[in-house]
Amino acid sequence: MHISFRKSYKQDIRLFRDGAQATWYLSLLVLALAMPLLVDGYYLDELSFVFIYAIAGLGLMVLTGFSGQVSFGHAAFVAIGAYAHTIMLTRYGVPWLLSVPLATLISGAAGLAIGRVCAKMHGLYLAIATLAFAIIVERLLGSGGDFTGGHGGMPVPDISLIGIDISESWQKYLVNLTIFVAVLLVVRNLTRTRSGRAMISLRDSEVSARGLGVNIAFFRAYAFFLSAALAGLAGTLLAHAFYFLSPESFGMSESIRLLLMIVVGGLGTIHGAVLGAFFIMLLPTALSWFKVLLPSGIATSGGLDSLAFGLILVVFMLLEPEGLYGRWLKIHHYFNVFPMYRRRSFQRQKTFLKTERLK
Amino acid sequence: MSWLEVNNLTLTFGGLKAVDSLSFSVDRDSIFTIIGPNGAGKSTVFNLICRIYNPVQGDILLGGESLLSDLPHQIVKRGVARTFQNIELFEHATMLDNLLIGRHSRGRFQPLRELFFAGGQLEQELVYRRKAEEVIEFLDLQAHRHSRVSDLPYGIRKKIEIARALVAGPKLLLLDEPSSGLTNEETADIAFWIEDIKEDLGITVVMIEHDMKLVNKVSDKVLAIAEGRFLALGTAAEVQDNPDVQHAYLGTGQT
Repeated sequence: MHISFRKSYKQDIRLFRDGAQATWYLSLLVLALAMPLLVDGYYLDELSFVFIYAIAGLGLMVLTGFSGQVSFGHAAFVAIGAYAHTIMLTRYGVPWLLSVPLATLISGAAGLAIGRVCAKMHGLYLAIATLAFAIIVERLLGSGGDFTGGHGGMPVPDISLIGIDISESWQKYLVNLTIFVAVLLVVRNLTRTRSGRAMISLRDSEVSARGLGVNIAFFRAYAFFLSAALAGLAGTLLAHAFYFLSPESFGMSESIRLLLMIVVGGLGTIHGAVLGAFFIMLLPTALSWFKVLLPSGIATSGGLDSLAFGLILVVFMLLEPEGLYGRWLKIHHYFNVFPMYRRRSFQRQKTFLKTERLK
Repeated sequence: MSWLEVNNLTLTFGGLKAVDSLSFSVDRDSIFTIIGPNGAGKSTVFNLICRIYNPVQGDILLGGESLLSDLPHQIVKRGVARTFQNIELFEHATMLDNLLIGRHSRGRFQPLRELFFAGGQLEQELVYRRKAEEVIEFLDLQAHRHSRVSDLPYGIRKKIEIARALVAGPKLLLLDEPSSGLTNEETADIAFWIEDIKEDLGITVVMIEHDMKLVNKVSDKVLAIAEGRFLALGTAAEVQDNPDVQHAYLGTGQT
């Protein structure tokens, strides 16, 4: 059993608790960097998708997992990022390095606007509002005529990084990986500083957060901003992975997929967003293996994937509300204390008392 | 000298007068207890001081300045921190995070420095942490630093809530039923801590409490209210002997 003794406050603040943890994460990073040498283009593209979805997932995690605001329309922010980026690249000749942060900010600004408008909405009302926003964005993109390419769509040029053309799978993979790691660090930094804690406080108890000086409206809007910005960043990368943008790629089902991702991964954790991204990207592959076993009439019918997604969401909510990351922690604990594991260690106490919501 | 002054405070919900022209004043460095039967408006007084409710009339002065011009999240900067009757902790965070959130009002919003963890963030976090550790030691909470609040027993949570309020560095601490749900032993501990908070930390305490043993032990002054109105003010013994107070709690005995 490995026990990490804390000897300094800095251990709780730094990225890694101790050398062992740092070694694990750094070896993972080395493995990720070495991937282009180990596997071929197809798998690199798939992994790129995982990283891109993980970035969007981290964005949604900031909003839903940390600040406790549900969004049923996060694909809209991904779309805004993707379209803004592509339009700047093709129509205005903005260099890639400038276009990515600009598109990220544009998407963030859209998020901020929605956050301000929905400042007083909670739960179901917020879900409906964001859903409506997503539908509006999809329609607007569809009816944008030549500017957005309309329903016919719009081709996306290759990445050109300070004159170097990035078109090979391994090159794109490395770009995506770099941005993904940067986003991981940024979100981790958020969780270990004042603003991140403020978001968690307004998720768990608004009344006491306010009593401690947290400006609720401000931090709700800030969470919306950051979340939409990250989703927009994912959108800029997704545009290059898709090669071609059309409004249908950012519809309702994409938003649901993002939400599914963070719930299955484990709400409120950074690991959850990443594990969820892996899960969501591997699922279609796993389903295609499974389909071979089914009679052809069922296997080729369209709704099978959606059915599987829905079923998985329900199963996770019933059996593992803490998500994949929660399950991983349990497995880790099992081996750590073997053979003394008790299921009760992870049983949550129910709370029955809650101060009546004031106002 | 009176420091917190409540003047002629009134709050109505529709036709109901929850607080009815209530006035009292609290001396600096004292422990002031508000008692009263259920529905007397005790917690409402706290919510008024914390600006969650707007009074219909009257004023609340702290050190001679009105609190009414502040928004609810600005009250802590005036040196007011509180606990809640039914524990309002951040349940899915660790105790340490709960305490660090208590320090929120002392920091500034620096988005870029935070996101890149640069420009003295580490030092700032260490400053927050040392303050939290002071309170952890004061309230004997060392064992629970990294436990999730939802995993901790009720008595500990009650203490964490006081700790979180103390981390904010208040001058006035509002405790809403600090002993409710606690065992006799825990209540005895709370009594010591409340006295220490006043004497060692120099914090004025206003509390709402039903446990008369605790009230007798720690209170410098006791205010009794019923149906939002002033009943009696004095030492714990005086208030308990007041016929109006006995009437409010027990009735007249005539049917």
